[in-house]
Amino acid sequence: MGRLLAVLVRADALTIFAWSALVTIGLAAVYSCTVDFQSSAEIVPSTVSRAVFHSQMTWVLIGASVALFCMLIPYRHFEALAYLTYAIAIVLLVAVLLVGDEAGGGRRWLSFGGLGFQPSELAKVALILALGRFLAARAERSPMVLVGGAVAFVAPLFLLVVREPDLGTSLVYPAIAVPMLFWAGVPARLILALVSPVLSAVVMFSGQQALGGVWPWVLYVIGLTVLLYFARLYIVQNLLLMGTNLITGLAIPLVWEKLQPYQQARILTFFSPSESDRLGYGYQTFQSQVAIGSGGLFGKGYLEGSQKGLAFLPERHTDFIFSVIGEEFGLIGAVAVLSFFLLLIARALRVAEISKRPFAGMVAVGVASYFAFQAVVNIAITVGLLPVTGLPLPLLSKGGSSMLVSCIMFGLLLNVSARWSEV
Amino acid sequence: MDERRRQWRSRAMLIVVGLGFAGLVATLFTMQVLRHEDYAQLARENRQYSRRVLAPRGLISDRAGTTLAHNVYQARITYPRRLALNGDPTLDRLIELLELDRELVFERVARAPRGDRVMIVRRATPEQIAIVEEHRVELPQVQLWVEPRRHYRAGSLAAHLVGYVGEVRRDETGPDSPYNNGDLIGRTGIEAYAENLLRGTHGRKVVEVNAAGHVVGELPEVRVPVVPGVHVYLTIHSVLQRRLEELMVDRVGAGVVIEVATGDVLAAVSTPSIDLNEFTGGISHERAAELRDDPGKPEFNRAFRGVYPPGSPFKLITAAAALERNRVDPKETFEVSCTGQYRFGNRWFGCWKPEGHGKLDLEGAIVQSCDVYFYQLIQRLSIDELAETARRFGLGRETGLESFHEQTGLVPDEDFFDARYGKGKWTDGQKLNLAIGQGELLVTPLQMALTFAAIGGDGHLYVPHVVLVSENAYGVREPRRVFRSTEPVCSPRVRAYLRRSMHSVVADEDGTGGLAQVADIEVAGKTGTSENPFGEHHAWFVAYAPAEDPEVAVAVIVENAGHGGEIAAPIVGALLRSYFELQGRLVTPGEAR
Repeated sequence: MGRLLAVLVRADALTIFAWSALVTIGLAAVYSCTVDFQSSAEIVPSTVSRAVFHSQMTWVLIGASVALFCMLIPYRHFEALAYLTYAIAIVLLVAVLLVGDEAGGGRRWLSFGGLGFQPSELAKVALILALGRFLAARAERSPMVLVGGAVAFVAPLFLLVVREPDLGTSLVYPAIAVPMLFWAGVPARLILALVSPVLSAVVMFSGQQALGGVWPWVLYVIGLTVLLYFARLYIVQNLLLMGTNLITGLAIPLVWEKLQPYQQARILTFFSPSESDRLGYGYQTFQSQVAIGSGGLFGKGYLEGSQKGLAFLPERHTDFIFSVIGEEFGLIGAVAVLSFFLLLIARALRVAEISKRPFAGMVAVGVASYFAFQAVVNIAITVGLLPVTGLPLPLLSKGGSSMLVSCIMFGLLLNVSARWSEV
Repeated sequence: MDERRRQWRSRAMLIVVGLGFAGLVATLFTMQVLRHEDYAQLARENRQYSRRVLAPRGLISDRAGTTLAHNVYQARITYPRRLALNGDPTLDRLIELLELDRELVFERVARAPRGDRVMIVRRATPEQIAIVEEHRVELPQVQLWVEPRRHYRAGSLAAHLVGYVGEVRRDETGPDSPYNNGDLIGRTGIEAYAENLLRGTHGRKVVEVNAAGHVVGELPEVRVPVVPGVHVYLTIHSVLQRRLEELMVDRVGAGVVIEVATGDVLAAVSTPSIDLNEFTGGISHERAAELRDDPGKPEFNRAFRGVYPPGSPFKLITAAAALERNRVDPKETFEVSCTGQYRFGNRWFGCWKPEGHGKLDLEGAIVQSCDVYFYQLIQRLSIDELAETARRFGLGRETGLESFHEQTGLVPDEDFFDARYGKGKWTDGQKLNLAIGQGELLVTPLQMALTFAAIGGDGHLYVPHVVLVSENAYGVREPRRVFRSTEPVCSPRVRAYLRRSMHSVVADEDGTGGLAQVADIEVAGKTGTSENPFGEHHAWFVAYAPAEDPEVAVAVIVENAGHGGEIAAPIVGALLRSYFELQGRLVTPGEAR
């Protein structure tokens, strides 16, 4: 008991505050989804059952307990078991492909006695631990060794999850790995070479889809040019980087326009079979934008969202929970959520900065990347900047696996924050 | 890794994340503050639909209240036009679920008139409705509209009078028009004539819907109430109408029954006819072309618009013209007795009876319909005198019927001949043909019935009616007003003479109209066999009954059928028999002779 208190006291209070705030907002929003809507004439029963809220409450309690558990066990033990965890994750991901439950056009769930969970979520933790241990042990090695190791850890997870198929989740693994590589000392220009072509394609695609022009991409290219000027690379490196960026960026619209509308829809559907196929591509995004935009500065008021209440907003208690917040609490609520996430991420990076032991820093950076990537991508989807790919908002979206993994991440972060001084 | 390098790497990552968050905040600010009004409007449009509430179209019934046209309700499946044109996958899903023909649907979408929604299925079957309801969640924006469809309970009964409705054309819709896409509009008959009454006033209400399209509320403050269409009672008597249609089945021609005292059209038949219900659901192009090209012209209303030479019934007009001007003594016989033909100048004019009638006075000439007598009678009259009398009897001019695009026919005068042949280029020989109702003379069956109603009745021409009463949704009834001509068609003396002669036509042993006799009721009439240069003669019979104080006047023409006395007179007899049977006035059972 005394040990528990000692760890708690040393754990980062701002991280706990950010977690509590996000979980509370999430619960409030999920509850709102289950409340009947008062229309002009009658009460419209909610199509989301109250049991969903109760279930989410339960998962928050379970998540808090698991976080506590993850915090108490010295992270050295996690480091020791890292590769085993990774191996288990791989086994589960193979198992889910073979015996997983089919739902929404894919196999993503494993059931144990009526309780289902997604191994792809657990694999995020496994990746942070295993890659963290691998990189921490090789801090002084050549960058190519580190990158090669990271590819070796990420590729199996990525490929197995793509097979489910769940492209949204599979992208989380490289998104976690790249900042960890950066933290391990891989030069920025190499990271840039790895990331920038992908970024170029994404900026081009999102810019055209959401903002209706190539100007975001042009801005991106100008920014990259400036960056490269200051990076003072060799001319060959410069040309290679610019070349790959220009090719990927320009190829996207050419390829996309060659496709028939139904093929485009099918590609977006492939990314996320359960969501986009059911209501038609564009419908979800449109309704989500309408919900957020109509919320205005202060929102329509708690429980008052008509987009939510009349069921226009799809997946409102899960992937589109941010739209409910945007509708009912307005820009104030939306910025609050973003601020708490930024606080969580900033604290994680701060913990990484001060941690004495390399593995602790790796874990903190991995956790920060996880929250940063999922939050940014999920919210970008709700505002229409990215196509719908079915990624939950950590700590807020309804869903057991996501909540559990987010809480494990949170627990690990508290763990290393409380033991930053350990060598 | 040393402290400083760790610090800049951590800062660099925070900056990258911060940039991402800043981008999101900028987007949120744009949406929630700068473009808030647009989105708020979209959210309202999402949930609030201004829905048109269609006014039920007014009923059409006969004078006794028997329904002829009423509304049945059907469901229509519609889809937003914008989404349909952009190839939205939901439409594909709908096509797949309902097993529709993809090509046809897209053709329909492409051809659809302006408007926010296009019709995918006009008349949804109960199965299709069930499928759409069952898959509501998959089919957002798909709407089921329940709407009225016109149904003609008696099918083809009085088809030309009742008329039919069709869907409005693209050019009939618009901001100033009361019509929206898919609305029905009267195309022919009373449906067209009384369109403004029958249509009513469509209402509007704003409803609140949920994502599945189910109505969850209504905003009462913006409601526009519906005013149902006016119930139109026709003057026709559907039993009589049906009887006349039965009598004329397989014939080409027309028949009109007029109530003498009012001018009400009790029955108006034009054969061949059409089935009105064929037109209500949108008739196919092939079927429409088939009807249009049918040589019998089933869509053409012969009763009001068909023009024919009047033939022998016109002899009464010729007689009246001469009697009125005292150009003939009724007992007088002409010097040339009928030998079957008559020489005028260097031309021969035949009588319908080749063996001849011998010597006849006026009444005899009317009863036996002797042409030779009238060839001589007309020589005592000018063409203009004949034309003037004919017009007084209502020929060659409009009857004043509710708009059915009625034809006026033609009563030629000297100006007409001057215009047609040139001044002095025509001879008095033209008169001889006119005297017996041939030549350029043209009349409609409606005009004939009205003319004879005037002779049999009080001597005045009555304005015919097809609409008896219109009754609006609040029960206010507006009856038709009976109008008659201020001047009688002829003097009482002449009229009495004509009536007597017409009675003899039917009653006398040697009369041509014997087949129109009805037991217990005296009938007066005149046969006609008008020459038709294109084929067999047209058979006329025009009559009224009872002869002493007539209630109804009837005109029947059967095209290319032969002699009026043989073909048309029995039809009129049978019809009059039915009329008096319905009135409970027949004592002796048995068919008309």
